Amino acid sequence: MPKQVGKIVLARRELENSYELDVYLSSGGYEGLRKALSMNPEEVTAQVVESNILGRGGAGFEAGRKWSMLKSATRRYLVVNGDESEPATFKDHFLIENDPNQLVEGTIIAAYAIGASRAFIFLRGEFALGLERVQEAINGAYKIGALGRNIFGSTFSLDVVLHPGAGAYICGEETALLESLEGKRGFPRIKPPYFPAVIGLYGEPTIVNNVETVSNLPWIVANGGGAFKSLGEGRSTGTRIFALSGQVKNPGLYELEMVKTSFRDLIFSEELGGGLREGRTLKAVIPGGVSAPWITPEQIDLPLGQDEVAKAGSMLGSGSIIAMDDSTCMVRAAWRISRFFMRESCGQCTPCREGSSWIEKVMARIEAGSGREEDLDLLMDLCDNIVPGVSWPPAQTTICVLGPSIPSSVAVGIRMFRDEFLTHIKEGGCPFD
Amino acid sequence: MSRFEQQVLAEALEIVKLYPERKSATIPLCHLAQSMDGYLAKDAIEHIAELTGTTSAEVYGTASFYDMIQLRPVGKYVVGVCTNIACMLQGGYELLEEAESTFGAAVGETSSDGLFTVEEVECLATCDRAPCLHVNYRYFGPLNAEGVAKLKEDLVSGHLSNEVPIHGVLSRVKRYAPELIPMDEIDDLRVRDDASKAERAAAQRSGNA
Amino acid sequence: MTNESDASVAFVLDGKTVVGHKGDPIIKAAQEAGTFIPRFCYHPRMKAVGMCRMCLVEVKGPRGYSLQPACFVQIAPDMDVVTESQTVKKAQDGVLEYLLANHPLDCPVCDKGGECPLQDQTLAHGPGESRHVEEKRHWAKPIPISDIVLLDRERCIQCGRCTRFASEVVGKPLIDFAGRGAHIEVAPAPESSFDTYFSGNIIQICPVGALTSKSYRFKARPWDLEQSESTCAGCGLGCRITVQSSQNEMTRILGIDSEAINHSWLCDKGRFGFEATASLNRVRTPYLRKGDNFVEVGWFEALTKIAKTLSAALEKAGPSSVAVLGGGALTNEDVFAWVKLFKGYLGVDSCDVQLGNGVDPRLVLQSPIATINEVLDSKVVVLVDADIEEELPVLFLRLREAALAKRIRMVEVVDHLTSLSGVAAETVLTGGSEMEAKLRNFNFESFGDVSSSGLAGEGVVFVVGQSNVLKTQGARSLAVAQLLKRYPGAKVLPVFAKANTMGALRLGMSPGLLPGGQSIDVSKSDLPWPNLPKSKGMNGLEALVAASEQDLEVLFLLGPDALSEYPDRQLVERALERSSLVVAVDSIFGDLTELADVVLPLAAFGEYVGTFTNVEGRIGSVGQKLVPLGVAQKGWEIASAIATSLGHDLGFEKEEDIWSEIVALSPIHRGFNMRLLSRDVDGVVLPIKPMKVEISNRRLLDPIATPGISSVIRQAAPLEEPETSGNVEFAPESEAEQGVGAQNEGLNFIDELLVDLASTGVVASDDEGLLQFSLMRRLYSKSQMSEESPTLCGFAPEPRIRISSRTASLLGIAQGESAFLAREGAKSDPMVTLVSDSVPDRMVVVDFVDGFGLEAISQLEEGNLVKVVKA
Repeated sequence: MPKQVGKIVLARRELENSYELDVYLSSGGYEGLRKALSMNPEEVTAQVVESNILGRGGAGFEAGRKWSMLKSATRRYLVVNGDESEPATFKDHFLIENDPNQLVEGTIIAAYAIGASRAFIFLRGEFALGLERVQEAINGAYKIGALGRNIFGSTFSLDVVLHPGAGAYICGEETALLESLEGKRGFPRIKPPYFPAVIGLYGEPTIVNNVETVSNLPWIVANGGGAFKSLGEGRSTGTRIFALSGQVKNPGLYELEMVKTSFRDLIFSEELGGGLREGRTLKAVIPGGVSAPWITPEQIDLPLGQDEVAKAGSMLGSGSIIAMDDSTCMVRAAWRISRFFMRESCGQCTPCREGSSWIEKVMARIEAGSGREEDLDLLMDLCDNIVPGVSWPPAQTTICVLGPSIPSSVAVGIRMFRDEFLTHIKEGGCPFD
Repeated sequence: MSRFEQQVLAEALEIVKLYPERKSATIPLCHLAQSMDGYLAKDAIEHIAELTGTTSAEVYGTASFYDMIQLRPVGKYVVGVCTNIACMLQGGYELLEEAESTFGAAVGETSSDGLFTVEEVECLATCDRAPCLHVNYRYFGPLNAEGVAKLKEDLVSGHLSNEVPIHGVLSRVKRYAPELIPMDEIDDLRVRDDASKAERAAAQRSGNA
Repeated sequence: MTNESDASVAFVLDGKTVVGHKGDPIIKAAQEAGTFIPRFCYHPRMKAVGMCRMCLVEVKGPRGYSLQPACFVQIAPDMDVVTESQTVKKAQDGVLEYLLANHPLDCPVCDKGGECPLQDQTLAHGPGESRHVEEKRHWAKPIPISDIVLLDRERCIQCGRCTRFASEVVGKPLIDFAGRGAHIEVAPAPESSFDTYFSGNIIQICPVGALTSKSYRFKARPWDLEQSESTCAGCGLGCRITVQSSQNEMTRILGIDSEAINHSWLCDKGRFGFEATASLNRVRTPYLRKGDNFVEVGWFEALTKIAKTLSAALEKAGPSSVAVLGGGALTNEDVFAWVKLFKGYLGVDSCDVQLGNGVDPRLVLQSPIATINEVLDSKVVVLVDADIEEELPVLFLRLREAALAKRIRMVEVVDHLTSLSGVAAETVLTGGSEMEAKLRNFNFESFGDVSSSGLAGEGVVFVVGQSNVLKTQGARSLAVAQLLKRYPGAKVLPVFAKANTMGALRLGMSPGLLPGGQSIDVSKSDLPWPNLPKSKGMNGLEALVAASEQDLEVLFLLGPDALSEYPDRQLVERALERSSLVVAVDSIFGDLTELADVVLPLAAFGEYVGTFTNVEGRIGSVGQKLVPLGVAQKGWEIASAIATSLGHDLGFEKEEDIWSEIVALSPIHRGFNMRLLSRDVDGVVLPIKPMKVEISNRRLLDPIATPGISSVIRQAAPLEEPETSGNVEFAPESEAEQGVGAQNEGLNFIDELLVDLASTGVVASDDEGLLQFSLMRRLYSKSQMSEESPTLCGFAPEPRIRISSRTASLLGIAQGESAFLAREGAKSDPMVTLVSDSVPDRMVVVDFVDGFGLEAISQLEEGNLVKVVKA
């Protein structure tokens, strides 16, 4: 039987006022940083490499390896990505509001390991309470000597600056985030050559890490990379927060050992999702945020592991799982997701700007009952012009990966539920209305 | 109004100092402007351009990219209803309709009493409380018709004045910290540390050999 | 391996190995190898952004082939690039279809129709029918984003060429993208506009019909246009342009991508100034003053009148009773004819293209002149009294780019901060007499290695500006001569506001000089002209003074804008009133022609063929598109006609005849012939050096970088197909006078100059209330190109008084207050005061715009101190 672990990043979940510094300090807070400062930066990095923690933002790249790719330069930055905007993803929001000190401690540890000249915590602008609490946590860190000159009596000095976003999904993409942090429009940069570790913030080498990734660092350093690695399986080590939403009885955050739990367990287990509403059956699952292609009820025995889901043709992405039951219109679901990408396309490159908007218009027309049969081929071809071959893993004609996210719901929706699309077209309306 | 004055200007100048390049302060200053006016007025754009060493066109270009920066006057409360997938599955569109009628404003518009501006927004990362909405970026959910009515009542009566702050998400964010350490100082220290480490390592190697 | 091959990179293009230049993007290397990759956002003169995605090609990487933007990815050794696969075609077709999805189908009424890269590529590759049945995006139809430019956002394809031009090339991001996603639009800030001198370029580079000019809008269809290459007449830089016309009317000017000069950019004055040719104030026929009236007369009557008065004057008072002023905007051919007439047949030496401000001709004729590209390849560029954006606007763009890329270091010595101050290594803010004093001791060594090899100052270029209209020729020249004395290895780039002042000086339009810089003293025997001057004549200023004292009989004004450079209006008017005969040769009536006795109709820009010599000494062809208006004639034809009416024959039937004589007589021009202009597309720099000259092939015109520029026909010479590309040897017959080495020896003239000018100098006053006065040249003034062009008229700035904050507090004048200048009891009209530390203390700087309210003050010249008084 799957068990909710909840012992690493969500360890303080049950504590009252968990966001307060006193509570944090009395529950092991800043032990990780003190230990890190007793080691040299290379040793801290080694622990993180050993832990093999995969980046929790969505792409799932090994955080330790990312650090080691930082180009050697005198000036370098750390940027923590707290621009959580992937629909149905709400783990960072929780960590930011409820354990901001853990985030700040993790930030200082990461900055120490990579030798950052300054660290920025970029928070999604909409997280108004989170901004207050993280700023409080930063203020507190200065007060107890965890920030500023000679942190905890060491030779290490650091400033952390909190930066608010202003509402644009694309800024979760790390190069768009850097542009935004530079005071510009959030236009992603072209990679190569703009890999942040080489040319990042203000043109200097920069490490961008996700909030959950960074929040794991105090534990990893305090307990050792090996302890983290002993959890999970294969490349997917440690625990991870899974955000469950949709038509389940118990939507919420579940910190689970990776791979050891399946989608089925997460959705249906009594201690976890608690299953669907009475009398409903599962129709489809979005396994890793709306950028991930859907999976069918037949596939839900897949374990919650990065490579395992990738092999099945989708991705674990941001770790957010949306369960849709048989009362859901799949055309409407796919349309709403296409509408999201239409609204959030930055507009920089043609296929995404025009493709997302055209696709949304056709989807809206079908859902409204004015679809034509040829629209399905048209949609597939429009997807093809963003993701040649509508392949997985996706090729792309766009600058960034927002492009390939567009077909994830539309093309996969058509493939999985073609009949439902055709019903809309034939009946001239939505059968679920 | 609209240009930063006295206390707000002092705050703005503090924010500008946090960044190696002034332009980075553009978005924080837009938030600050919204705490004065609720939206980004033309004079504020010009003042931000002066403070960040950019042009008004750049500030406008940047500001207009972001959903939270309002380019037209808004009501005292901006109500943003999420209709994205997780909320939609739980009745987000029904909630939006409810909000429009309860607050007396269609999407993108402001109620005639100037109190409420209603927006349809994307995921608010509060999906375990779907369907949800925000009021000046404080989150409420799950909400049904009664919940929306109660929320309006509480807002109008002032019961929520502590919980729902004025515009500008930085209005309650205050940095208390010493002056920033010059990055050159940090860099110098690291370079020196690295050099002495390399020296020690070399000495060790030759000692071993 | 040689150095040359180090810079080449061999890569695989569609299975064949080809060689490109290191650092070039695939799109450029492929084009040079004969493979055209479609594109929209890519522009060869701006940084690539990879936004439109039209140029996607397959590039092989560690994980196989992937689609990459060819504009953004640089070629690398052995890189495998595929441009012809099904995948590439599908991707490009997909992008094109996406671009068309929201693009209106209004090609028949769109200005870009017929020359539109989007239309062309749609016809070539696009789908026959649109699959987009949805409602297209709607925007309010064209909105003005400046006084010149209209924006149609429905047609915009968001390529960002215009926004990048504003921020990257001009450095003034006054337009940017606004909004997000499908609703992204190009926009200035609310209630502001795209005000720069360079706004027209965004119209030129727009790959669709989104940006149009108010004046060209709906004016012509591309297929009706005839085009020919020409040289811009807007300033002395000589930007390469193509003039387009339809039905004997010029419709548009586009900048040509000339590597040597303008990199395809133009300033708005150059782009729209041609409209003056169609001015309603054009002089269509000769006019003669009869009593108080001007009456239209025939050429014969006008010429007879001139001949009679001129002969009488020469007979009675000799050649010193005649002066010829102006001519800086005439072609070389014109100038030579006038010089031959006056210096060769009438013995009149008082001919001056400058008016006492300018620069000593010896500096221009004998210093080693830097080419524009040499300026941009130098180590240190010293800008002396130069405000380049106001004086040679396109050079400002190039200097800015080079300084930002850290290719050059600039030192400014100026009396007000300029638009280059932000990128200059140092700006020395000084004015009046102190400028010369400061320069005398200024060390440029600290800005770069300027003396390690060979001569001191090698790698240094002194750009000799004329920003302060009041600065005397002597003061300016002395300062530069002193610098050249200390840095004999340095070169000079003079700055001239008129298109052909350089050419006119080289052809002898200056007292004491004959064509080729020969002195009237030593070359008497050389020139086969019958009646050379016996003694040195008056310069422009001396001639005006003489005329005003009734010591002059006949004054010729060679327009356009013969006297517009001269600030002392009282002197000018007195001079014109008191001369017995004033002959204005001009194409447009203005306040000076009103004071003339005879006005001869001159062909205007676009109505004549010929050549200009730009500030670097480059001869560029000027193309003719129109028949001259009325009975107007070209400048050299008028000179010949006057000669004929005096019983002489200049011997010129056509432009080629003039050139034969120039080349025969002038050492500077030796080796030149008109055919070179059809070979060396950017023009020919004189003197031609006795070395192999790289001859470029036919100009590669990029119709997507500059839509509408295809098939430019070059005029000016019988068009010959270049035999082959490559090197052709020119061996000028006389080599002694030429070449850098010879010119350095010739630096002896510096000592001469230093002696001559030693007395020049201005006394500063101890009274802090008495200020040195500078008149700051502005791009838009009351000149014909500015004021007679409907697009540009009204752009001349309101003059303002600029004083430092210290001066302001001393005088008790605040920012924005009204004040006037006062001297010797006279005062100017009131002007708005701008308090700014962009000017030095004890100095007042005012915009120079003709007829701006300073008329009341006479003897306006540097050194005559003024007061600033609160109004």
